[in-house]
Formats: sequence, C-alpha cells, structure tokens
Amino acid sequence: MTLLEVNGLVVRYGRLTAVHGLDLTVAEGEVAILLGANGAGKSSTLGAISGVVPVAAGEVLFAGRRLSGRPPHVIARSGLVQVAEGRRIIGPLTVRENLELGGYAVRSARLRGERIRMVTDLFPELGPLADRPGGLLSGGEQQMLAIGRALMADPRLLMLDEPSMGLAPVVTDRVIDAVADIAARGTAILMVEQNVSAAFRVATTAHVMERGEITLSGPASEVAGSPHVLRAFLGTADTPQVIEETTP
Amino acid sequence: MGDYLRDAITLGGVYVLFSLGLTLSWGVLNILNLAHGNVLVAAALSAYLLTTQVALPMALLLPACMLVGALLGLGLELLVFRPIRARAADEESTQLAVLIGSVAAGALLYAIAERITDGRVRAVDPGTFTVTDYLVAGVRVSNLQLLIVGVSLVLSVLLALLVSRTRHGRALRAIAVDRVTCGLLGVPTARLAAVTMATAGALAGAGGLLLALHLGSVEASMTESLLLKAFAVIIIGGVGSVGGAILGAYLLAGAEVFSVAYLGSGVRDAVVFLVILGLLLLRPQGLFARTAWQRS
Amino acid sequence: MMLAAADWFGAGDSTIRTALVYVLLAYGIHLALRTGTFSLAAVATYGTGAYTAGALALDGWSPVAAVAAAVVQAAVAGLVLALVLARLRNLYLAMATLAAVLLVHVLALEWESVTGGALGLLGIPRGVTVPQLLVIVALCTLAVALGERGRTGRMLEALRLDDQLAASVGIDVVRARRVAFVLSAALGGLAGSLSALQFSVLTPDEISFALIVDVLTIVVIGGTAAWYGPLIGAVALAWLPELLRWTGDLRPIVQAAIVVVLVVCAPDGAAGLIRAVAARLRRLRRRENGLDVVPAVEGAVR
Repeated sequence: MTLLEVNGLVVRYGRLTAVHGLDLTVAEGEVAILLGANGAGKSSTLGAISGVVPVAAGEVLFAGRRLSGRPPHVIARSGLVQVAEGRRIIGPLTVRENLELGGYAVRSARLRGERIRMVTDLFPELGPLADRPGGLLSGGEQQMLAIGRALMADPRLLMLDEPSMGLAPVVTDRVIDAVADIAARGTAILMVEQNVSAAFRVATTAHVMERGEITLSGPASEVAGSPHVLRAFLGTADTPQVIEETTP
Repeated sequence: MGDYLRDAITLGGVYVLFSLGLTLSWGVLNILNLAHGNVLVAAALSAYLLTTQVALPMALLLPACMLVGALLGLGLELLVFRPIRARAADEESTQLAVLIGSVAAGALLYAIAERITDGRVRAVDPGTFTVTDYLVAGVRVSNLQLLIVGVSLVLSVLLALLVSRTRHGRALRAIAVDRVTCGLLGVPTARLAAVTMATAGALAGAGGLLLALHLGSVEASMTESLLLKAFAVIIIGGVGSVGGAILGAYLLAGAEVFSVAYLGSGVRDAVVFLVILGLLLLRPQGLFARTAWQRS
Repeated sequence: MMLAAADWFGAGDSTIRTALVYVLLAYGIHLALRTGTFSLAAVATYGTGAYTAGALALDGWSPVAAVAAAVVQAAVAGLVLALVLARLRNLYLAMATLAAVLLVHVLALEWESVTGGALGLLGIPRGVTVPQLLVIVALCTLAVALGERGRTGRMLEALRLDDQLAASVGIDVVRARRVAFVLSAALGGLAGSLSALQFSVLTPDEISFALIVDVLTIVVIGGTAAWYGPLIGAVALAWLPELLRWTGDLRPIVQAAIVVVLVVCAPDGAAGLIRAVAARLRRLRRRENGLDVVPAVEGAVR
C-alpha cells in the first residue's frame, strides 16, 4: 500500500528552482533510496516533504492525507519523521533529554520510557551515555542518537538525509545495519545517501535525481545494475567527484 | 545590617521578576525585547486604573496584572515578532529586525502610558491592602516586602521547575539551540514561542504591580533604570539561565544596597556599570553560563 | 512633491536643524549596520560629543575647535569601546552599546561639575548656522555615498553578509569592523557637538532612550539598503509631527503605531523600496531590449 505520494513537487529559492515537478511514491515496508549528485535537489525534496522548505507547487500526501503546506511539527506528528542532515543534536541536552525531546508529542512518561528502552535495545552504545550532553558524543554516536530520537515518535516513515556523512566506514556500516533493522520492524524508509554502495545494501527501491527531477526509478537491483548509475555514481567510469563526496 | 539585608532581598525580588522574562525570551527565542519594561509599566498602570475603580483584594489584583502582562507579551509575539520573523532572510537580520520591532512597539506602549497618566506620576493605592510592619528576628519587615519576596520566590521557583523538569521546558531549552530541528521532531515551535512571550509578560506583570506598590506610584518612564539592572543581571547569570538570573538579581541588589550603605548613594549606578563592564571584559558569557561545547 | 518640500521648509528653523543633526547621527548607525554590526555606540558618543563641545564652548573655545575636539573624543571613545567589546556580536553587542548610552545619561546626571547635572549646560554660545550645517551634512552624505561604491562598497557588502566570505576574499574582518565602529562613533560625536552648538541648552534628557527610539525610527523609515536611507528617514521623522497635526493629542500614539506598522510590513524602508522598484525597472528595460540575462545569481545570493 502506498504510504507517501509526492505529485509534481516544485521547490524554489527565490528565482532559483531546485526541484521541478518531482513525482515519488514510497510504499509501506519499502526502503527507498534517493541518489544524485550534489545540488540535484535531494535535500530540498526531503525538506519539502517534512515541511521545513516551502512547497512552491505540487502536493505531498501521506497515508492519504494532504501534508503539503502544513507546519513541520504537524507533519512529524502524523508519523513522517525526518533525521536532518548533519544530525542536529541539541548539544547542551543530555542523551536522554534528546531522546525525550524526540517523544515530545507522547504525553505519557511511561510510554516515553518504553520507547527509550526500545531505542537503547537498537543502539546499546547509547545506554551508558544517557546522562552525557549530546554535544560531547562522537559523530557515529550522534548519528545513532539522531536516528533514535526520530524513532521516539514511532514514525511510519523515517526519512534520513545522508546518515553516513562524515563517518568512518566501520561506523557507516553500523548505521546502515541499524537502518535495515528499523525497516525489518515495519517502518518504511526514504533515505538520501551519497555512499551509494552502502545504500544499495539495504535498499528495495532506488530513485535517481538529476537537476531537480527523477530520471530513473525501479527496484534497487535493477537500478544498481543500470549502466547509467554505474557511470554516474559508482565511479566505474571517469567520475572523480564521487570519490570526493563519499570521503569528505 | 539586618535592614540592609531586607532591602537587598526586596530589591532583588523586583529585579528577578523583571529580568526573568527578559532572559527567557532572549535565551529561548533570541529576542532582546526592549518593550519588556513597557509591558511592566502597562501592568502597573492597569493596577492603577483598576484600583481607582474598584477595591480589589490582592488575590485578584495580582492575577489581573499578570494577565495584562501575558496578553501584551502574546500580542507582541503575534502582531510584531512573528510577522517579522516570517519574512527575514537569516538569523542575524531577524534578531536585528525583531530588536528594532520591540523598540517600536515599546515606544507605542510608552505613548499610550503617557496619555493615560497625562505625563505625571500617579499614586497607586489598592485600598484593600494596608502596609503594616512586623518584627522578624529584630528587623522591621513590612507585609509588602514579604509579599514581594514571596511572589518572586514562588514564581521563579515555578519557572525553574518548568524549564528543567517538564517536557515543555525541555522543548524550550532545545528551541533555544535549534528551532528547525525541534519542528522536525514534532515540537510546535510557534506555539511555544507564543507561550514563552506570554510567560515573560506575566512575570513582568507581577513585577509591575509589586514595583508600583513598593514605590506607591506609577509613571510611564519608570523602567529605564530597570532595563540597565536587567542587563547586568543577565550578564551575571548568563543568557537564558533561570537560576543564573535569580542569583544575579540578588547579587546585584546586594551589591547595590551595601555599596550605597557604606559608600553613599552616588555609587548606586556606578556599581551596576562596573558589574557590566567587568564581566563583559572578563567573562562575556556570564558567570554561570554554559561552556563553549554546550553552546555549539 | 514641491508642495511637500515647501511645507517642510516652512516647518521652522529648529525642525530643520534637528533633522540635519539627525541625518548625521543616523549615518553613524547606518555605517555600523552596513557592516553587519548592531551597535548603538554612535548614540552614546552623540551624548559625549554634545557635552564635550558644549562645555568647551562655554569655556570660550571657538566652535570649530570645540567640534573638532568633540569628534576626536568620540573617535577615541569609539576605539576604546571597539576594543572592549571586540568579542561581542549581535544581541550582546546591541545590549552592551545600549548600556553605554544609558551610562552616558547617568554620567550627564551625576557628573555635575562638568555637565551641570539635571539642569544641564545653559547658555552655550551658538556657533553653527544652517548653511554651515547643510554643507557638513552634504559632505558626509557624499562620503557615505562614495564609500558604498566600488571596492569599499563590495567590502561592506561582504562584511554584512558573511564574515567567512569576507575573510576569504582577503578582508581583514576585525580591522574593518573596528574602523567602521570608530567612524560610526566619530559621526555620532560630530552630530552631538553640532547639536550642542545650535540650541544653547543641553540637558541629560536629550541622551536617553527616546533618542534611541528616534534614531531607530529613522532607520526604519529610511532603511539601510542605500546611502539615501538615513536622509529620507531623518527628513520624514522631522516632517511627521507636521503631517500628523490633525491627530491632535493622539499624535504620539499614532506616530508610534505607524512606525510599528512600518517595521512589520516594510522592513527594508524607503531605500529598500526604491531599490526594488529600480531593479524591476531595469529588468523591464532589459527585457524590452531583448537582453534578458537569467538573473539566477541574484536569487541565489538572497
């Protein structure tokens, strides 16, 4: 069943158009990845879906409800939660407080406690760090906290914007494995990722964006094998810029 | 000695009520609200207007003044700050535009206050409240002084608990750091901004009533010196820190009262400026402020 | 338009003098804002400059010497402030310079031997005529207008937008800001000293929160987008009382309300409006000539 439906999405910054007429669907249980070079409009797309970037035209439907034009907190509360690029941990708050913040919409403290246990089951690394200020964690720990914090709202669809950014390869694997775990529990995923080979390990569907449009969509296995993607993103041809992007 | 201590604590109580709202709106919303003093005057004026009409008991007068302050704070946020924030390009220019907006709104409130008072000092006498003195541990203390201390203590402790213990308080501390991320996590940032401004206004409202009773009068320009004191308090306590503001208010009041007592009344303002200048030079982030990594 | 100008010049000698002084003070604030520094230091040095020039003139100094001394004093005060407050930005700097303004007010009240206390300085010899004032304002306006062109103009723009960007194109950000701060303070001192030498009376009330409100009103009405902003703002502020005479007793309230509405609805002021209209006209003309270059860069900078 279709969970997220984006029709004819347009995003503009002043007179600059970042996304023009994008169509995209994510079904329940799906792990969709959004690929593309820098500036292709991936982050703008996620931002428009989650409400932090204004939608110039088109619509976003989630579980049949129209979300475009609603404020971010309403969108988040309807079960569509985004983990922002760069993790955005609230530095002065402790790890536990950051998690509690993710469960802001959950009124029951008992339920929030249960969810915190669920998150620390998924990321045992966070358990002993509970009382430490979030700003003191390592990059990988912060990424786990950011994902855990988003899970506190019990999303039906989790959007991730470059979860591997700035992480060592081992840590990237750990984070991508966690994404697979989350998907296995039934949460749909929409992920933007520059580390293409890591992303394809968990993806069921892949979309390729170029200059604000989706140019190729399909099952991950097919897209991964398409010569177009191989050439543009996997660096099998002469594309040195990909190397820069994956190891910043 | 006891008298000085009593005076310092009373004065500190007024400073706390005024400074808390200012540090709260700055710390959470990046608003340096220069209309804050005018909100305090408006509440004091409504006490003056109310008490000339009906004899209200203190138990009603205080909530009424807090309500006036809260409504004005809310009005500032909804009519001035939010529209400015909605159109500004980046965080820095937003802060500047909001600051100028608060000066303009304050000037409007000031003009209205001048009109109501006709530019004169107006006596405030609640009628239902007579000042009587008690002897507490050898020091003469009036029931008004006890009221000031009690109200400021109760309100500041309530605010401190709200900010440190509740999920709303946690959200407020998070908004202070990163508003966009809070929105992504389902926190209604616009509504909490309105609540913050209303809370700040209510605190100023209580401060306005108590200051008017303390002075026995109200006038449109009674807060200019208070603004400077609040700056000093915020600098001592660190921006956005409730505990810091409470401590800063009492430290400043104590420094003022004791230096006036031992060095003469001319040094009162000098003490305030020395505190501001010294801290700006040595520790611009405040005595009790968060360290660098926490602000990142 | 002609009628309006005639009206304004009919508004009285003292209105014109006040407006001209305010133009200079507004340039002081303008200069700081253009570099992205929110400093009210110029208002503080307006006060110290006024008292310096007033006291010296009373001591028998010539007007030129008194004004020169006041400007030097203001520049030095500005440099000291710039060094003391070097680490502060944005709201912290605004608060600290606001405190400096209030400090000057308190000093004026308390330092009676120099300032005359609450009564102020009386009988300051008048030493500046309106034509002289006009020349000074014209020179300062020219200097600001020239400063916003070419290399320094681009430097100002870079400083306002982004420190890192400015540093990356070779601007010594710290030094440039300090220079702007000192110039801003000197302009404030110039405005204050000229004010003191015109009205023969100087009281502490002139350097209070109300002065900040007036200056910011000029900034709001005129805008900071271009050099003509403060000019328009100061003229409008001087003209407003005349324009709102029909409101009678309610004038202060109506005037304050107008400023609030302007802050909320027209944040870029008159200068911003003029620039926007001019840009649109330019685009139209270009389109008519068939030379419509895609202005994507402009959009990206915003």
